[in-house]
Amino acid sequence: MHEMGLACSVVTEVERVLSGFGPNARVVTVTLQVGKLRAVVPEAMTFCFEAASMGTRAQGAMLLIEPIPVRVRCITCDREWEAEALKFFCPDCEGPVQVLSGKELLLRTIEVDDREE
Amino acid sequence: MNVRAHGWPSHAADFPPKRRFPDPPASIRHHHGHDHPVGCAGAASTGAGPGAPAPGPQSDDATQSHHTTEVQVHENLLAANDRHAAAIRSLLREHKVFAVNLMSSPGAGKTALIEATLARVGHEIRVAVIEGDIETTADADRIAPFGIPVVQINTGPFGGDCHLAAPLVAGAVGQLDLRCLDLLIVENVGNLVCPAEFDIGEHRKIVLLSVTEGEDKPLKYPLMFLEASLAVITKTDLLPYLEIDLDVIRANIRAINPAAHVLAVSARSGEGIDSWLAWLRWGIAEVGAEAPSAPD
Repeated sequence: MHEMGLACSVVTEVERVLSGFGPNARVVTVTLQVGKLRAVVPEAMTFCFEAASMGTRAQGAMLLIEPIPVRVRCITCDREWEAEALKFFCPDCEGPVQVLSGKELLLRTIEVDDREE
Repeated sequence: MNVRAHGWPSHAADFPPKRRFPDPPASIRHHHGHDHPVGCAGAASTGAGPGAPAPGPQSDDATQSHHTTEVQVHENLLAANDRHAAAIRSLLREHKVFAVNLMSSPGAGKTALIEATLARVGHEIRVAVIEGDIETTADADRIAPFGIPVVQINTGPFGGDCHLAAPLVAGAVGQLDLRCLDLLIVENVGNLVCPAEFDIGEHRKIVLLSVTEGEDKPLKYPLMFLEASLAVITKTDLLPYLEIDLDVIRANIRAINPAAHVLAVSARSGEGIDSWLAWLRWGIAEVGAEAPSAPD
């Protein structure tokens, strides 16, 4: 939903990390972890990253997006499962659930090609 | 961005606090199989200045053509927003101000609920309002006659942000004298999707859903209803004219968020407003009773 703003955050962070490398270093891949509750559309994210990285040291990097499934746990009976539909109660005891994962929005790794030219 | 203030002058021009946040922890992994602490791949470890030829890790077991370094970052992409939100939250806690974030589709009745609230308790509870809109001061203008502090945030003249983010709210909070407040109501930009994504330092998120929007909206816009502590169904005075079942709306909200409180109100008729005010008073009392604590 906020792919452009997120893409700009990624570019800022990539440039911060790259400042620790030499001037010829370039980014090969950037890996994000995105929870499925986050309404981030991968195609839009990729497109926005290409646009946001243009003219920066992140330009040309490949963006990898790892989706994180929505895992929930029943507060009443402790059952844990991966939620497919957005109905947040336990199929066994109808108890309320807590969300364990699915809201992540993390920049995990940046792969840098830092060979000397 | 544009922040327009009515009411009090700024007493806290230094907000948000100028803090230097540490860089996130990171480590660096080479693809040739060992780890270095951050900085060892860059100029710092070799004493070379910026612009010096890349020292990089030595190519002991990697060919030049396949020499890449993987940097572990683990940076939350909303970290900058969340830091501002945490600063707002600790400031509100320090001054014992209960802050709510009102969210809904455009036209669900957020401003009308605020007006109904101020008409009832504007003299009893010390309230300030922050209005978030893409453009116009229309909402702040509606609140101004109540004589309480109100700050209008406009996110952009030609289609700005569709939500309030914490840095904007921090600027608006900085224009309020928190020492003279019990309650801060932030009216978010009308939008049933994006505002749910952004922590603005509030104590409680509240979603409003008007009966004219249809019973299915909690199921269609789940994140908003999942994030809210309170769901307020508005415009109940219109129910006689609609084929809408209030119990179905309640059931759909509970299907997404069984822990949420649900109220049904009409700002026009006054129905349910007592319950809404009781909920606000509970929140004010809860924040007032909190022991002052260290910032998060």
